[in-house]
Amino acid sequence: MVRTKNEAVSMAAGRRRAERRKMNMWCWLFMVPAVGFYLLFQGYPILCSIQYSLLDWSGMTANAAYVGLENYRELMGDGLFWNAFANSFVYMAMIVPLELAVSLFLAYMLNNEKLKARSVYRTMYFIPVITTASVVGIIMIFLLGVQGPVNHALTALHLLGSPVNFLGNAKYALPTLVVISLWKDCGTYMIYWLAGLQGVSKDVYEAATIDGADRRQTFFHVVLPLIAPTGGIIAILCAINSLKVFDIVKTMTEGGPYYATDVIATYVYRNAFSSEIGMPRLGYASAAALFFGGAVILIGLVLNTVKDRLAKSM
Amino acid sequence: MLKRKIGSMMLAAALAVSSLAGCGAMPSTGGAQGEQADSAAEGSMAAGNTAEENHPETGMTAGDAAGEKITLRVVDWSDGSANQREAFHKKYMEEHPDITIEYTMLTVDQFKNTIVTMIKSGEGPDIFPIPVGLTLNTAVEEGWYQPINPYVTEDFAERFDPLSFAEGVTHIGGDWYTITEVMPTIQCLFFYNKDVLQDAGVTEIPSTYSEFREACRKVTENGNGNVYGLIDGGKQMNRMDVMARSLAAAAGGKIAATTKVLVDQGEAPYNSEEMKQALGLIRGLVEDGSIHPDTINISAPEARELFAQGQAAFLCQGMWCIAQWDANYPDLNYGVMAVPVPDGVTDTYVQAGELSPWIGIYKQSKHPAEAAEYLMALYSEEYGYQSSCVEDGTFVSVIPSINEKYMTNEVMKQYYTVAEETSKVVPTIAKRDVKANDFYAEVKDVQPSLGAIVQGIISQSITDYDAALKKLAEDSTAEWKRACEAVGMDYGMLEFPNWNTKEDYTDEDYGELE
Repeated sequence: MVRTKNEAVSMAAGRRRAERRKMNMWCWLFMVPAVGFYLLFQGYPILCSIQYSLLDWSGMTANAAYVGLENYRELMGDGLFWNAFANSFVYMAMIVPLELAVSLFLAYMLNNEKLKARSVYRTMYFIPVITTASVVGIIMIFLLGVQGPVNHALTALHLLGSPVNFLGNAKYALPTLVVISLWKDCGTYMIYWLAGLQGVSKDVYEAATIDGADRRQTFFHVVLPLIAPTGGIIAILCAINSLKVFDIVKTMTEGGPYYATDVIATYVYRNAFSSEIGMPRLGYASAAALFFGGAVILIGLVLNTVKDRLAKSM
Repeated sequence: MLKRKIGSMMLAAALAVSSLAGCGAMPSTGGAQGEQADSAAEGSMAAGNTAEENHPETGMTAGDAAGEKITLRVVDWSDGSANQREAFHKKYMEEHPDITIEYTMLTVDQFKNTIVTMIKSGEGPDIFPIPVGLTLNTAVEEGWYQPINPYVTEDFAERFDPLSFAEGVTHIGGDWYTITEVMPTIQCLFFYNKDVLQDAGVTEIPSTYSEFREACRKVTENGNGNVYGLIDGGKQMNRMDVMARSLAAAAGGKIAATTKVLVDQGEAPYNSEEMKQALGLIRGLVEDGSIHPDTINISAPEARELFAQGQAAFLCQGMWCIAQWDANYPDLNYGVMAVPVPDGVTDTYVQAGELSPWIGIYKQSKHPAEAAEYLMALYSEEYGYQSSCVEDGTFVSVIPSINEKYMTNEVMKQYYTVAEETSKVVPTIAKRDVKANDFYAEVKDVQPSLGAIVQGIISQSITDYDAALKKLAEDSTAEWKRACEAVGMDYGMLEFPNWNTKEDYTDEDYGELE
């Protein structure tokens, strides 16, 4: 029996569909554990937060009253929420470029095979990452205190006329936190950059050397364009991590002095779990968290659209 | 390509949202009361030895009868008496080989975050205190506690100072739910370092604002950047709140103790002349450079350490410091003085300590009889916990006979005497109207709070504190009115027209208002 050309084409397409289905099935099978955990530990809490944000609820009792969008309406007029909102973005704007630049610099240095004791340096730069934030906070409060060793050294070297209250002065508190976070977290991003750098073939370096490029030129004109996509991912991760900064702020300043370092996470924590008179406000805090999350997504979408339009127009 | 881009955006968005949705891990409210009742019943059945099944005379449980090893889970935040508690548990377990005490000490905040989850999951500890901010009535309504009367001996209640019992604090009707930790004392007196004052040539202990400011100035000048007049835990807004309220009350102001609400002339009393004077003193100290510059960066325990190291002449904290210093700084030469008053002001008093609910037995505890036995031992002379705490100066016990016998610490006696002489009982709305419990459950914090404003003054972030106080008073008045309306309580209940700050507010005074 001779098959017509159409039948043969349709059979081949059917085989391809079956293969694709099989492949998809395997993909889904491998994804099930991760998706399951995500739904359980992230998806469900997000849904709960959405529900709580519509309630007037302390989180401590069973008396939860449905208030619709009242929490969101109240947020709009809450100056301290907007202060924390702004502080979060200021923190992000300060730390992301610094974090990317410093960690890339370290990674590039440590990627040099001629550098002796590379693994020692890598470990050294990574140690702050695995140190608990509360321990870092306590040590840094001591180091940066008005009578601490940092001020002592800076005044002894005549770099400062008088000691600076790094954490107690509203002007310096947030930048100080940025520097400490930079020191603590840059090891993580250094590892990401190293992974990107190690993906660059040695041939590329050799070709650049043959063409007469020095180390700086090789980096800016050859390596950087190649690792730029990795950089994009690192920038996104760094931005997300900086927007949810909590532990270091909570340990070192509690959002003070007078809300100067209050970020969204500390604002949410304060409202959700503590109160001076009466009960905490878990519902209101959930609304703040969700509103901020929504705003971040919106800003991301707008920036992405602008970027695409600019790219098309160029 | 577009799909991939949208996908990656969605992933980033999901990561961002999930990072901010930490609150979502809390349990659901839907029909919680009904579920709780059901789970309580199930828990009781599973335990097999409910309160009803305890031996009616001996209080023994099925577990005792079978000679089973029992684990009592105790959770609280009593870090001030951690060593004494450890010694107590050791002794208790030695004398009760069938009982293991599993004790967890958390911070106040950690406890608040944890206990709700534990209870909602039916895994509450056998013995635990009421979180700060929650009233006993609410906790009992939520099914957290069970009465302890059926499990304790008849003479147990007789050990206690009658003033340590109060309706809505320890009791509801005839049922006894919680025992207070300590006899309430003022949370804010001023400790002074005698050596630091002597080095600065300050020979008289200051009693007025101007004397205090002058003493601080002298110490700071003499300290040459190493020693300052005043230090405190400025990172903790609650400590700043306590200091401001105490200074304002010492100036003659009608203001409630911390975490409580009272109204003066129809308004929240934050904008009163006395409060302005109090904050004026703090501003003056800041202008003089007399406040230790690290004050704003540190918590109360850290301030306590720096004071003991001789970095400041004065510290505004409570009795709990005494035991810590005696243990860690035995050579510290210090004393305690009253809260300073404005110049020319006499016969004024700060708010006496208020009774607050503390420890009780979990409603679903499988071992209520053993838990009650633990409490009886904790509040006995025999096991040494109360006596060692009193002896060390950690607190004043709720058992008068122990105070009489063991209060030997000289600074503690001094603290107690000054506290007794310079404080008066202030009225509380909870004693006047049972709806006050609902009011406290309804009312919301107004921010920036009094503590935050003081923090702003010390960090020099606030220049016009009068405006900040005015706004706080207006916003608080509006919020308190709203909360009263929401729970059906007359706003007038927040005001006590017959309150004379120079006298203790008594039951007769409450009676006059009925």
